[in-house]
Amino acid sequence: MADLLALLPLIVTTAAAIVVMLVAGFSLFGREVMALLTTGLFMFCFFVQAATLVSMPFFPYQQTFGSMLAVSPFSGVAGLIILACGGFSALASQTYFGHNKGYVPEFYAMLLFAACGMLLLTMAAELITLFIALEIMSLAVYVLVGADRERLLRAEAVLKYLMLGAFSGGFFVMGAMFVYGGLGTTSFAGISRVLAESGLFTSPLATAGFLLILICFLFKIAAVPFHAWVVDVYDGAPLPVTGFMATAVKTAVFCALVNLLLTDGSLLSVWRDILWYLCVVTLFTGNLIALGQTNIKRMLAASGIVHSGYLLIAIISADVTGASRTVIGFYLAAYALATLGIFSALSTLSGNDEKRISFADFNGLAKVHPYSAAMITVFLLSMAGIPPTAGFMAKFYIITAAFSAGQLVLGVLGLISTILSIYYYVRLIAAMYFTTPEDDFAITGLALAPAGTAVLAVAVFGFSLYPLGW
Amino acid sequence: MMHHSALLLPMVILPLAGAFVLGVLRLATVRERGMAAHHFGIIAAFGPILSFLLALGLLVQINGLPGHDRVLSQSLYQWFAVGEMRVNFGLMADPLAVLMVLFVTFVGSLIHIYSIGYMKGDPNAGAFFAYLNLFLGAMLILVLGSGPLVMFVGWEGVGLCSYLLISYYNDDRANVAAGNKAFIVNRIGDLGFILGLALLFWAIGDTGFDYADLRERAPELTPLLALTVGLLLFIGATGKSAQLPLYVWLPDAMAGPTPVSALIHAATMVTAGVYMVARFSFLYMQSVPAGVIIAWVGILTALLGAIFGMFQRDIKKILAYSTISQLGYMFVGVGLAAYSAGIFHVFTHAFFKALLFLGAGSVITALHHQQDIWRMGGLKKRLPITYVTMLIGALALAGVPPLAGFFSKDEILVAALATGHPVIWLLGILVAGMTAYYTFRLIFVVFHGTPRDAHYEEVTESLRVMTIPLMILAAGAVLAGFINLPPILGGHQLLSHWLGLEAHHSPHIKLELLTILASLTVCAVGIGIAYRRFIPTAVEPVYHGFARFAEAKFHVDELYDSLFVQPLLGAGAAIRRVVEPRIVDGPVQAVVWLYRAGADAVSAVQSGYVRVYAIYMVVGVGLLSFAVYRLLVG
Repeated sequence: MADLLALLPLIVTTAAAIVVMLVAGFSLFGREVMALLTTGLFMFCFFVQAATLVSMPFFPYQQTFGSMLAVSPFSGVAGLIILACGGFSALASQTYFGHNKGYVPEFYAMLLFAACGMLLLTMAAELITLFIALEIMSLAVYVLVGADRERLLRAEAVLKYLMLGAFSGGFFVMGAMFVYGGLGTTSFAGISRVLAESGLFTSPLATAGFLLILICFLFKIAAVPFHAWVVDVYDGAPLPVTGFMATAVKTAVFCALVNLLLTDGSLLSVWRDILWYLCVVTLFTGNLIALGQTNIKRMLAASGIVHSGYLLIAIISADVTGASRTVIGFYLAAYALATLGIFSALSTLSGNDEKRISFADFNGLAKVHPYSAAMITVFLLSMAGIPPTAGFMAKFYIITAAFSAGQLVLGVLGLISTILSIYYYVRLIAAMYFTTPEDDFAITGLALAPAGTAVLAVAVFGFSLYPLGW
Repeated sequence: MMHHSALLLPMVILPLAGAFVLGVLRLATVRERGMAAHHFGIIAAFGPILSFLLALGLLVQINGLPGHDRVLSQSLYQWFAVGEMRVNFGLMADPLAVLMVLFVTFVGSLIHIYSIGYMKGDPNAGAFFAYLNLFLGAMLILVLGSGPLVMFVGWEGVGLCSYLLISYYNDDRANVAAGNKAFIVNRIGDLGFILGLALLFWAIGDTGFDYADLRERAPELTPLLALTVGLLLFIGATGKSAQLPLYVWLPDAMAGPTPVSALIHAATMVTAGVYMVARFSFLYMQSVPAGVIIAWVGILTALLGAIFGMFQRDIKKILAYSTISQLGYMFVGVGLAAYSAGIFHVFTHAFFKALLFLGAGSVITALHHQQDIWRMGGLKKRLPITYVTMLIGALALAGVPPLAGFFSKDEILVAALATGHPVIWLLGILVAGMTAYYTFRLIFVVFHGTPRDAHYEEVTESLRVMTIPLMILAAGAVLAGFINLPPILGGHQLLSHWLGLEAHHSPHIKLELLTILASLTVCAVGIGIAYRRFIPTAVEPVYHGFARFAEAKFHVDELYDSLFVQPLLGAGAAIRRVVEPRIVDGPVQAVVWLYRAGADAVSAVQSGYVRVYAIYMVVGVGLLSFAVYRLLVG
């Protein structure tokens, strides 16, 4: 019974997804009602998750369903972020599909199914379960990206994503097999027990297996050199989906990665040096890619690579206590707020068929829509890490964690990367404020996405005040 | 032992909430026609009036406590903790704070009501009332803060509102410049204030940084340290309270709407410096020299303000210089450890100076924004209520018994003589005479004689909503002096006893008699000279020599400009011309170039072909495998 209670958010979300699927199948409601329904369901799931989180007497890593799943405060917080991302994305999509083609009612079911996969991913405590969760999530997201089959851009994006995703999924399955072959178990608890007895390097097979699993994760979080897909796929996806991928998918994958790596101290200590180099390369390559973009979506995709780099800093500086999970959770939430905010704003402002999407398209926005421009500015400043936003506090915690773990060089490189990133964030602000408008920025559709955007803008400030206990 | 009071927080929150609501309403209605100005005004008046009622409740509460233990507090939360520094955000009220709060909210309420009439039809009134409410909230934080840092929040808050309201009519660039001037000059003072606080923390702040902790540990300060801290804090006060050498912003601040001049630049904010010195009385008791310096700065400012006031022609500037001069008196009081006398003058001054400013505002609106007194004249028939109330204010300012100014000013002068500063006393008496002269110069020229205004016949008395506050304030100006009647006139110095700021000393009957006689004489002489010059008809004078020099305010503004402003601008220009392009910019541009080149290289690799991306992954797998192999082998 306690097992079921711990899984309640997942069960509710799955039920919601099935309900929406049925509703979509019978075409009961129009587009706008579907969006509102989905947003409402996400909100409901969010509250169920929150209630579960505060009411359950958690032991760290309570095992459920015979160690297949583990529910912890960290997985609960990740679940909250994911469900909030789903809600805001649904809200944004309502406005987005008002002036863009490609709407199918099943879109919203897929959004919820993807969230199911993600929730499962955050709780997975066993390699096969993890893989299944990963695939549930990925399949749903493939559909979300490519639902609009008539547009070539979408088809190209989904093809690239699918092929490379399958490629990396292959690595995962292969890796899980090697680990099982080497250690005789696939559960995290079992792995940690075996490793504690004999150490990782006694089994070359398991070492190779973990490497392959790690590669799959690195692909999903778009760490260099496994990043190349991200810019094209984010660019090709509809704006609300891009926002959803950039936030919810990243949160879920990072949560799973942290659960795996931090289960036991020895696993992380083996990979730390390798991750260190990957992290530095990710930070700087990501910055360089972002810098070269003229399209806002592509810029944001590339900046997502950099944010993965920061999260890697936190993982590298982690100890086995809960502190690093807190820092990572805070960063994921702060990043999600700003990213969702900007995609929500873009969903409104981009116009028919995403016609406004390059930096130059937003010239002089501040003179026509001062509030929208101000909110976008807030989100960009939060991403760049300028106080007093949530993004600043998140970066502050990560760099502090790096310093206190003795990772001085990494901390300094992280700071330098922050400075570099300001360039491309401020470029959009400069375009909005210091040029004269050429466009009339006419907006159609309901004001739901703008309302969500405003909530997020306030949250960016509010969340920075949330005191993080160490 | 402190007592809890739940009234403090709502008192502060109410005006702040008002400011928030007004701000939102203003933003929400700015695109459409906008809400009518008086609707904003009516909403705005709620905060101050409710705060005033709460202040009355506070008075009752504090009087219910035993005589030597009258401190009410409300601790809210720990604001921040850095190293050893633990700072709580709390509110505190002792009799001194209660007195300040009472008159701040009372005068504030009246001026909010008056503004409803004054700002009628102004399209930006929403912003005006939001700022005014915000100001009141910040002022209450300043007064009720439980420690110097909370006070500093209010201190900066009132400065911000002052800036916003001075440049309120921002169509005219001169007004914006006046706002900037006020802000910048105040920053200079604030620097001193911050340094003083930092030094204080360094010396005795490590066990707590509230007034209660500091008061306990103040005796540990060495004399030199006490002097330094005292003077640094006083630099802050010279900025906020417009004393030498930082007084220059206050006359320019008259560019703001007249209710603002009355509330902020006469009755309340500018007295913050005096309040601060009284609040830190435990500190200044450790250093007599600091107090003497303050008293001298005060009396010299009083003299300078009075001299300038005698030769101005703008009705608001006359009153502004008079404010500077009266603030000087207050600093004489608190500087010479006669805290209750200084605060008493703050209290009475608030009534009659607010009254004079509001009266001036009434005249100005009646004459369609004419401020030159030589364009006025004979207005007593046209503006009877304004005339009578302003006359009462003028009598109070000039120090005619038994009105408010007479008692409070004399108490300060007695203190000067009693502590052995006859020169300050003499200058004080001189300034009293000058005050009487310039006050009645204003009254005679504006209200008596022949009309000089072209539209004289169309002039009508202001609205009820404006004149009723005038009448209430006039009543205050008559009565406020009686709460601290000295024994020589049959009183018991009720206020001084109640405030309990200094040890009580036996009355100096002879000194008091001497002072009363001297000040009555110079007051009569001052009014007499004004009467002979400007009655029955005043002729616009042409100033020569010293008078002309004084009319030009001794060219102090020009002096500051050439001493400080121009060199700074020159340095800035030099940096822009030489240092920036030749020294700083080169490396920066080089970095930018390098960065862009890197970006081009990376985007060239980002080809868009899936097969190429897959190859990257394979290369990555290879590299990682090699790294792992090295780990395994090594």
